[in-house]
Amino acid sequence: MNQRDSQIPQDDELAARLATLRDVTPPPSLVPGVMQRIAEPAPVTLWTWLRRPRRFELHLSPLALAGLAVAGLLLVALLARDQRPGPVVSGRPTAAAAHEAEVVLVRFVLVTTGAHQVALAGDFNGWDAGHTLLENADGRGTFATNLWLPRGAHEYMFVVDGQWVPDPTAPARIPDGFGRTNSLLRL
Amino acid sequence: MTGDASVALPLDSASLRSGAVRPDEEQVLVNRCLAGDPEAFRPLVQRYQRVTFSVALRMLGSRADAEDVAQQAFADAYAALDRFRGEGRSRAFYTWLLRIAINRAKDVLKSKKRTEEPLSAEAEGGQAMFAHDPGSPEAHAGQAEDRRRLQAALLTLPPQYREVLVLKDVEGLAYEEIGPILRLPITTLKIRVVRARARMRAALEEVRR
Repeated sequence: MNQRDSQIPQDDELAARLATLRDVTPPPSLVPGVMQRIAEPAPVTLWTWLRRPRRFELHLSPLALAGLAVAGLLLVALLARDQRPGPVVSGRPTAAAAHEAEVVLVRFVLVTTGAHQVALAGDFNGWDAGHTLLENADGRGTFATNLWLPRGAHEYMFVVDGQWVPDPTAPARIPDGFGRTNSLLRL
Repeated sequence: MTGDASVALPLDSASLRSGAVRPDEEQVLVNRCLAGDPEAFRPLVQRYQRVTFSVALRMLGSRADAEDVAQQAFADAYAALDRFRGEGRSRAFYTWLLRIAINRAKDVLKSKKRTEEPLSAEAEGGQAMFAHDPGSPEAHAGQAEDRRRLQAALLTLPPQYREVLVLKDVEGLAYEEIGPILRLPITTLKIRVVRARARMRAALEEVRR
């Protein structure tokens, strides 16, 4: 018989001896003591107060219920109205969105009498003289248009009936490398 | 009286150990407690007071401490009933309660640092604590002496060995029940029981001298 085999009867004997300790009678005061402890209100902390479920009863007439439903629908309609998108200029983003995207709305104006067509050409439209036409807003020679441009420096020229002319009100000018000057706008 | 109040409540430890207690009866009582009827907890206390007190007594060696731990374990369980998940498992409340009691007892051991405390005479003193008292006075004296030695040896063991012997050998729980109570894998548990028994045998030799 090896050591493990001899240990098993020893274990059984020890377990049987230990099992005699099971025979215990609890004191008669145990049950009343427990019932007294659970009857005492536990200290209420803020956390337990917040976690404790509560039952609420609401007494409403059908008329009041209908009124509440109408009020709820009105509230939803108002909220939906407030979230409707604002006016968009030329299909571009709103001013608030433009600010976030770092673009600026710029109004180009050229007053010239007798002209039939005024266009705007610059680095922002590939110097295409036929791309951005100005509108004769008042019918008396005030040509204007609005453009969203990214922040930074932009060079541009007006094209009046095919004639390239600088913007007389431009804040700055810059040589174009071909002997002429472009108007310069810094945003 | 409602239908819930008429549930059968076997109180003897034999039926408890045999698994005769119906888990759905306990769930009914738990539900009544949660609905605000603390008296529904009384049958559960009566049913499990012996085992809870026994485990605490064997862990601590003092009847006064054991009663306090047992009462507090029941109170803890009552306060946490909304987190009890019996789910129809056999003896779910029993094992849940024992885990609370064991943890409470270990808290007391830590706070008092009484791992080497000698057996208190009150732990085995007097016939009042014996549920049965068979045999002659000589036999009774011999049994009482053996129990005193066993308890004294048990108290010399570190708590992690003491708790496995109390649950496995004293109370006769299955490994599958002890695992969730002590939160140990079965393999670890079996190894610990083997080591605990070896330590217990050595401790009994020391006590005999």
